[in-house]
Amino acid sequence: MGERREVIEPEEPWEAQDPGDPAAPGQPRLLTRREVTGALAGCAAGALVLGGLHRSRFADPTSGGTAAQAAGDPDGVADAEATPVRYGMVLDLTRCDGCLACVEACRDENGLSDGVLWPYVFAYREPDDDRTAFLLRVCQQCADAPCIKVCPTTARHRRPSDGLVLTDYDLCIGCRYCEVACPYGVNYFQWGDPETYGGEFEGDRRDARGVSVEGDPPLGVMGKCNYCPQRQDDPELRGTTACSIACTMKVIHVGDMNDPDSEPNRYLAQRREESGGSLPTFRLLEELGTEPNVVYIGSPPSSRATLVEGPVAYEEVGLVEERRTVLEGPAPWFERIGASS
Amino acid sequence: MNTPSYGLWLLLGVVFAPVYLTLAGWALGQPRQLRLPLVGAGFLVGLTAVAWGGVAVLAYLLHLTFG
Amino acid sequence: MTTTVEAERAVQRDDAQLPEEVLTSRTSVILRPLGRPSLRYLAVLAAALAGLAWFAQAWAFQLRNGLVVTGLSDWGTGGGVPWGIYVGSFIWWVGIAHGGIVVSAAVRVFKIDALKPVARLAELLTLAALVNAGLYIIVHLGRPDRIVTSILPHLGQTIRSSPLAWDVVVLTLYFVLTGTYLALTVRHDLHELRDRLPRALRPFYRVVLVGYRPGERRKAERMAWWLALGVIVLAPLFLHGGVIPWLFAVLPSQPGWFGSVQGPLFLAAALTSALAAVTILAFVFRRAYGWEGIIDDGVFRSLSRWTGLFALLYLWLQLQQVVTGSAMAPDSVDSAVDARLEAPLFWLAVALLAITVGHAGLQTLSARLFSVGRTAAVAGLPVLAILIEKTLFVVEGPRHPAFSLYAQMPSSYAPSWVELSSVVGAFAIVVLLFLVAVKALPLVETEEDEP
Repeated sequence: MGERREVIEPEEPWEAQDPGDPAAPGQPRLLTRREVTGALAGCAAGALVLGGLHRSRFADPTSGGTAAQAAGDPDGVADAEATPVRYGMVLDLTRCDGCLACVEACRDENGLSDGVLWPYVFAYREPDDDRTAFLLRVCQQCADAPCIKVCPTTARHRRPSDGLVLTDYDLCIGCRYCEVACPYGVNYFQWGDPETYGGEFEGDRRDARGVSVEGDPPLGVMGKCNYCPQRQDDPELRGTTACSIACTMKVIHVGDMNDPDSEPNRYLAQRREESGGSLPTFRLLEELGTEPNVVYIGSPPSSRATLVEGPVAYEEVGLVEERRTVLEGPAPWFERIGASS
Repeated sequence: MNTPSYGLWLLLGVVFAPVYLTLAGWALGQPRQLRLPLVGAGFLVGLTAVAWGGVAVLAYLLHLTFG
Repeated sequence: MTTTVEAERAVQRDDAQLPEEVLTSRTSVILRPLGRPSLRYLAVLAAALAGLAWFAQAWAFQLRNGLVVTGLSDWGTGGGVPWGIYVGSFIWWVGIAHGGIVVSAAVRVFKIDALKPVARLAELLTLAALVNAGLYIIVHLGRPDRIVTSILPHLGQTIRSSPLAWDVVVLTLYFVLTGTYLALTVRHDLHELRDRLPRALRPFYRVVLVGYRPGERRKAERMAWWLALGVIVLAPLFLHGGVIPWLFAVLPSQPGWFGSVQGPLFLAAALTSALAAVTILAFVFRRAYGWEGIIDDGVFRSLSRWTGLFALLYLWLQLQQVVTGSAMAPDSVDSAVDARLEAPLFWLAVALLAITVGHAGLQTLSARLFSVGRTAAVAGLPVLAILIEKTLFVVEGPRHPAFSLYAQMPSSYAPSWVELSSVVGAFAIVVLLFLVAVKALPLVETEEDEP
């Protein structure tokens, strides 16, 4: 684990896979990804044992290889320039008052199903402290993201234009491995038909690349806090998210963490200056080696922290806090027969 | 977790080693002959196709029925 | 289970198909099941088809409505777990699939001839169990229709870091190697017995016998030996002691899963449940076809001893995990282990395995205490115990995560009727596969010196 800490920003080949990447101009990623042909399956199956596993078979630009591979990087050690922009957040917890406006705004903009809380606000207390503290949990946009690594399909991927970790809803098989691998618990699966379970996303879900990544996911695939790619693709709205706009306390600062001049980095520098160099900051569960791109201002909850009721209850603002309580499937036929007789 | 292709070497280098041993044993072991080992290799390839072909058919049926 | 009287009646019925004089030879006893199906066979067939149909409608219900019909939910704020009995059953069936290679390797590589009569039964169990393991992956998915088109084209990339991609590859490999082993060892029998096998299956036999030459048996035996040697390393050490536990063991996000003991622990569980399953299978066939002379008491003595030994190893590895996880462990590991120790189902599994160990020990102490029937009955305990424990393991992981604030949130999981129906369906698939195999192949390898 110690060794891992020294390596910063290892640009990993499975993270760079976009046709719009300058390294691989015009790769028709979507076309190949959505190809549904038995022939392809048959060929790949036959090749599985007879050396078909060798990456060169699939690194062919026409059969869904990575941008790094297509760019002549056979060892997969992609250059660090692949995603020079790395979106993240600076979250000033010292300003958070637990009003849940961010959670509500996200639900409304992304049309999230009931109980899907892309941002979530923990309210907790430390022993010997009567004050309620808050922890705003969003996707940490990890540089070394476990969800990307464990995904068996590359549906969970990093978008090269801004480094956002997203799910390709057209590719995801819904195995939920990303969900158990993520230490932050930010993934929310689409267990039922979103229309039946409060989902109201209206858009076509496609980002600027044409990949289906926006809003509440369709039935059977994984979603998570995605930093509103619909906004990052819009020059007018870039650098904002639904939650950052809604937060009147100015807790949420979104932008390129690699750029010292970005809004979050300038905010962080300003706060450091104000505090005379003693500003407490942390990254969540940093010891797990995920290299999160979210910097918190404040103190992390200790292992003795206990959850308490926040000033605003989720139910009060029309949100469902515990999703399991609304995941009731339809009654099976044999129960309906029993009920009608 | 920072070595990008560790999984590739773990599988092809370590996990597959017993398979290489078996194939070498087939080809080089007594009684020395190549015909039956080739038949055996045919079974390996054929069964792989049957396994994934079967799954592909099932997946296609699911696509048609519930997709 | 049926009574001996019923079994004998069935045997006589099946025997009626064959000429009197061949009934005396061992081969003919082995070929008994190939006759016209008995009433009891048809009854079992009907029951298995009903079980499969029930599962099919339950799965269709899930496919129409989504996984909302399961007891699953999101972990963390969702108050549930995203992986449940589907994943637990997946692990369980891969574990049971280890019976085939262990018995085959025991016979071919380690020359433990006592187990030879059940080698082919065990190999068939492996194939059936792997079919179920694959099915459970598919049933678990939110979009099973994409399994081939989303996984295969990206395998060259995902294989680098996704344990699930490794699993798909190694499971395929185990399935293919087992099928090839079966084919190589059955070719001689199929050729020799071709006149007594059902005509309807001739196209199938022709495929299995592709390129057959009468003198090939010695080479085929050597190739089976090499296969057994390769697979006895591959399956236990790299499948159930490797890529299956690595699905969980590599994730620091769930302290109950993380750690290097999972490999050995999974393997011990697999071998215990696999040999117990072979014991039950051997008992059923011995009863059904009057195979007391073929599957003799020695088979059960041997299986009982090995099952007991592996169950003991399993308990010992759990002890390792509990001691290191509670003495001076970090908070997150400590709370995961505490939760396990507080789960009644965990202690049920431990108790069932302890009985298995005790029973095997007693039978070893004195020959007078040995009983085939009781050995088969007791074999059901570890099979059940491992399903319980593996599902518990899967479920408990995300309920006690490294992110300790979540551990304070309410969370629960109980499998729904759809999930439980899959257990019935998977069992029906094994029964169906054996019902087909029993009419298509000699289920015991014939001896070379047969007349």
